[in-house]
Amino acid sequence: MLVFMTVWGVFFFRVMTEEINDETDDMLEEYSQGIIIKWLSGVHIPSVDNGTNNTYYVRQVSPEYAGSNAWIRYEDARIYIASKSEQEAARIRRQIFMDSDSNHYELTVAVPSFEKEDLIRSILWSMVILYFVLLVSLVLITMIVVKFNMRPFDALLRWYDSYVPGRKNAPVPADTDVIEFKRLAEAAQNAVNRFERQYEQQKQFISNASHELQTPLAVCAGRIEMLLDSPDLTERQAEELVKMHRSIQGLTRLNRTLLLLSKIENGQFPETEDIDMASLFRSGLEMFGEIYASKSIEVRMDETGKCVWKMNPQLASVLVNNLLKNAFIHSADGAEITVRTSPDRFVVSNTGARPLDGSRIFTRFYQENSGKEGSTGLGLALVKTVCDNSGLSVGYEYDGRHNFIVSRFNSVS
Amino acid sequence: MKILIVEDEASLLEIMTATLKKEGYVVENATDHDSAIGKLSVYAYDCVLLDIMLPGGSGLDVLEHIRKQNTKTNVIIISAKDSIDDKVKGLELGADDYLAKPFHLAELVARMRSVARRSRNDGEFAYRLGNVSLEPESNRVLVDGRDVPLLKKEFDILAYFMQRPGHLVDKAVLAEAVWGDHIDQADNFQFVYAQMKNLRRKLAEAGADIEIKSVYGFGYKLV
Repeated sequence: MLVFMTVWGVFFFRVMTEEINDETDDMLEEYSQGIIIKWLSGVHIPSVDNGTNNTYYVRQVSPEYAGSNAWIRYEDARIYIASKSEQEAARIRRQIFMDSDSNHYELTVAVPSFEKEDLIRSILWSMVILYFVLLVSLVLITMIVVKFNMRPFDALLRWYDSYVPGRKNAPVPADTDVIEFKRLAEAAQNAVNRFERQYEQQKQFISNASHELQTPLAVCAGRIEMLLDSPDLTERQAEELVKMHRSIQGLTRLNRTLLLLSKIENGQFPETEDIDMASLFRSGLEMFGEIYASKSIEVRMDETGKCVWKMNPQLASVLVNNLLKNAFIHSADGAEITVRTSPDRFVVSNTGARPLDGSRIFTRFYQENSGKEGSTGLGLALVKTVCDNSGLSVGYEYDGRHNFIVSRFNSVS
Repeated sequence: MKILIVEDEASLLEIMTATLKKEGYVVENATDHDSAIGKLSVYAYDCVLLDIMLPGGSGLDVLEHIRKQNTKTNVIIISAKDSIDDKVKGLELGADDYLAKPFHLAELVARMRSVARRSRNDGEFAYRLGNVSLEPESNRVLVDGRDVPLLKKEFDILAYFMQRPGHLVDKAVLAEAVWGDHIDQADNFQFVYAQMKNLRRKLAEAGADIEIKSVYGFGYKLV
């Protein structure tokens, strides 16, 4: 555009100059004709006139001069204008004429014309201004047009942002007449449908798998229990059987947790009531304190105001107990566990040497020190799932202690 | 006592049958909806163990059939579907108890006993072994008619053993039963041991003629 504007500017300047010169020349010609006629007809006119607008003077020239120059010449020059006492750009017409006595005269007529530089400057300025105005308006118009045209696209983007797999989602916005956007919305809807189906199938698979595992596990455990009751069992055999039984119990527990996870995700805990979280914590701390008495863990509880939340009682106890269990299991002997509750949030902290990977601790089966006895790797996943399904948020922070923070989104309800 | 087990899972059916027979019950089997209805129409049973998900129909239909016959048969629902819906529906239809799979066989036996006892003498119900009797409703333990004050956990442990006399109980299983699901395989069962020591002392001081014995260091048995 810049190149185009430059070319245009030069062209425009040329045309303007041509046109103005043409006009001026016509005027000069008429004027000089008048003067020559007056001169030749003997009317006495001063040989020099230096007015404001038109200036002329007549001088006698030699025949050689007349012969060597063209009869009529136009030129641009600067002349001195007495009345303004300054130099000004002017258009000059020189005409050589001869009177009846064969004296050659040259008539010079001058009309102040425009300053070329002024013109160039003003053309340049208007060009620059035009350029910027064009540029700005072009950008603005483009933006407005794009914004306007992309409304369906924006709607789609917003929809994607709000999309949560496995939840009830609004249908893909397809409120447009543009064929491309319609197709885009359709494709998005189809992709989401496929995804939903797959998600559903996966969820189904987990819940079916853990469901189907229950009976064989029960049978297995049952058979071991039967064996354990038979009288002709040696201690060695009984010990092996008990170990086997414990492993199966572990499996059963894992299985039950998976089942619980998928149940929570399926929203099978809809009933809610007012739960005093602080008292849940107190009884949980008492229980775990008893179980892990050998670790001699110091337990503190800070209560600020009432912490009564509306949620499912089962889920509340799952939430509290898993957080506490997590703290107890992963604490070294003699560590300290603190629970702080306030109306809108509670924090479970335990001393820990190193920060954990906050982005992964809530995923299933993630374990910092894998294979730790007594932990399934599902506890925090369970916590996260409960929070996601109860309108709570859970976060992790490290400040020399591991802090698990659970808070309510809306403090009103 | 005559029992009908309605269960489609062959191996589960087998061990349930074996366990209950060993306890001295007369046990019969049905593996699907129709055969269960058939047997129930012809014979009378004292107790029916009923699976909800059956080939050919729902166990809840069988339950309705039993209640329509108006017999005094006890029904314990056994279901892998341990959803509250099923439980509520089953109990509304007149089931006496509900047992969610997977369960310990000892648990099954204990439930059987308690259902049977409850139906025999409504209201006052107690487990009795030797000179010890334990009343779950009032949380009381009597030895020779005298009250023995027990702490909550001690009481729970004793109740658990009273329901499973003569059975070897793994420490881990006991811990889970008394302290809840959150025990896991905590490698240390000192807390069980501490409670057990107090319970044994209290029982001995009261002159009970039953004893909870340690078996091989990993379990206990009530004798």
